[in-house]
Amino acid sequence: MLFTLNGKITEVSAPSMKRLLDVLREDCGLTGTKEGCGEGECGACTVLVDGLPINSCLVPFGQVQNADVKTIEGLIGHTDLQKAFVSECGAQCGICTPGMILMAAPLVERAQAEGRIPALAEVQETLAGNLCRCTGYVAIYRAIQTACGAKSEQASVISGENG
Amino acid sequence: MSWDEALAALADGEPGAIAKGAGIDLWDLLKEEIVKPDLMVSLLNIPGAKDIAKSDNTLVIGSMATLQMIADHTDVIQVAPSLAQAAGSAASPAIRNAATLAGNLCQRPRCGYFRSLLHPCLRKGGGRCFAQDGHHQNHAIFDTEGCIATSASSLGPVLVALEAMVSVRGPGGASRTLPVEKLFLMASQNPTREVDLRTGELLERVSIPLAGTINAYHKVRARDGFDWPMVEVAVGVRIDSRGIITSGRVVLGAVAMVPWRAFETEKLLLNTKLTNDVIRKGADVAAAGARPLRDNRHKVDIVRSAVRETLEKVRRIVDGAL
Ligand SMILES: Cc1cc2nc3c(=O)[nH]c(=O)nc-3n(C[C@H](O)[C@H](O)[C@H](O)COP(=O)(O)OP(=O)(O)OC[C@H]3O[C@@H](n4cnc5c(N)ncnc54)[C@H](O)[C@@H]3O)c2cc1C
Ligand code: SF4
Ligand code: FES
Ligand code: FES
Repeated sequence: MLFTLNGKITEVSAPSMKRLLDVLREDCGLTGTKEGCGEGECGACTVLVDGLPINSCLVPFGQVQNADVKTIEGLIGHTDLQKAFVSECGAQCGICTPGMILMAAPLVERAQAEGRIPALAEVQETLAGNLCRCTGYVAIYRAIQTACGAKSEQASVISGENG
Repeated sequence: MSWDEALAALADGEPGAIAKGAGIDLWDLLKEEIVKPDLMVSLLNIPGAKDIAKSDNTLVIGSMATLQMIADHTDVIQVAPSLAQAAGSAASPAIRNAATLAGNLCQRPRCGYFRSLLHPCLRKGGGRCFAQDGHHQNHAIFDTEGCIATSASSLGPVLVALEAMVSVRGPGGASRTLPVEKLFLMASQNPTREVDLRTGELLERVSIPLAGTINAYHKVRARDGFDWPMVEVAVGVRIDSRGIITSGRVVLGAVAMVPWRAFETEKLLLNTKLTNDVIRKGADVAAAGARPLRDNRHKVDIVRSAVRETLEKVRRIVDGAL
């Protein structure tokens, strides 16, 4: 079956009912996409399909035929976001991080284009389906605001005002 | 693939063929062996099946539109803000990007016993309901004699309040249209099925009257972010130029296997203005007829306060409109 994976047209033969998550990890060797719950509850498995974040643990491989799939390995152009996760300590154990970054990527892209910093409530709503058991979230929210151009101190002020 | 081809594929695959939207609910049902299909027919790529558009006097939503498409669509936000809100607050953002309208309406109940391979309960054709004496904090408070699971669809109650119709296509090109209200089956009517679709029938689209209602939605959940509702309320009312209610529906979600109309509240609202007094009385009778279980009496109180909140939202819109 043909699909676009991180910008490259890719052919993989795997059962159409195999989870996209497993195809990415096992057949494509891209282990950046993580499994937490396997039930749509945690967001660790988030990837972009045609630009939209979805849970790859709930998508049968057959569903992405001819689609454009992007995983954390293919997220070039979002180095701002990735750098901000590093500078703001948005990752600890790192299991949730690829999902967090892919979930936030479209928001960051939109906000950067519009030249604005998303408010805390908007960041929280975007990440409502992504669980993190390490960071307590604040550093993650700060990383996303920083990636949109907030100064680190300013980002914490933005969280302070809203939260 | 067209609707007719999908219907033909389903008919050919009988028995053992099943329709699939995004497959979110189906995954879970497959894992617990609640469904064991030989063939799944995906409807996702049917041309036009995701379209949302105004036509004549209705707003038509294709059954494969995703919850996020519904939440973001300007016509939905204008005609049926309660629907946009319900769709936009169901599940998580990533699930909303995939989950379809038809899948949301036809998803099976979330009762933990139902979802467990180890519990052959009434809804799976077994002999007993494990929730009656077991865990039932989130279960029904109306129609609680047999199966006490609730409908999991947040869109159902809103579509009933909006007096929406659903168009169904059957094998051989037969099609019919019915009120969304008639789509759902009470547990006491049919303990093993939730929606009244015949074998091989598919939901094609939902239509909402444009000459619509003032409508509002309110969801009560344990966690602020991403959580199933404990109770949800959808209201749709028509008012005359003086602000007097000429017709109205008050529909409760997560309290029964069907979107549950609070008829007593509806009666009370008719020919009145939404004053404090009317709102209080309307909320007081919203749970009339409830028969809660040992561990879910709290839902009765939540229904009353949620109905009050929702009617207050409606009043704010009415005040703005007059
Ligand atoms: C973690 C989590 C949280 C959730 N929270 C909420 C919530 O708060 N509120 C809420 O309402 N929902 C919630 N959901 C449920 C979610 O909205 C549904 O699972 C989803 O809408 C199902 O859509 P689907 O397209 O994936 O359906 P599928 O899984 O593809 O199908 C579901 C059922 O519908 C049938 N079907 C599909 N299309 C048609 C059709 N056109 N005609 C006839 N039958 C059809 C299928 O045969 C199947 O039986 C949640 C789900 C998860 C996993
Ligand atoms: S409530 Fe319904 S679905 Fe749950 S155990 Fe009882 S019969 Fe089964
Ligand atoms: S692994 Fe997919 S949402 Fe948790
Ligand atoms: S960093 Fe460990 S789960 Fe988020």
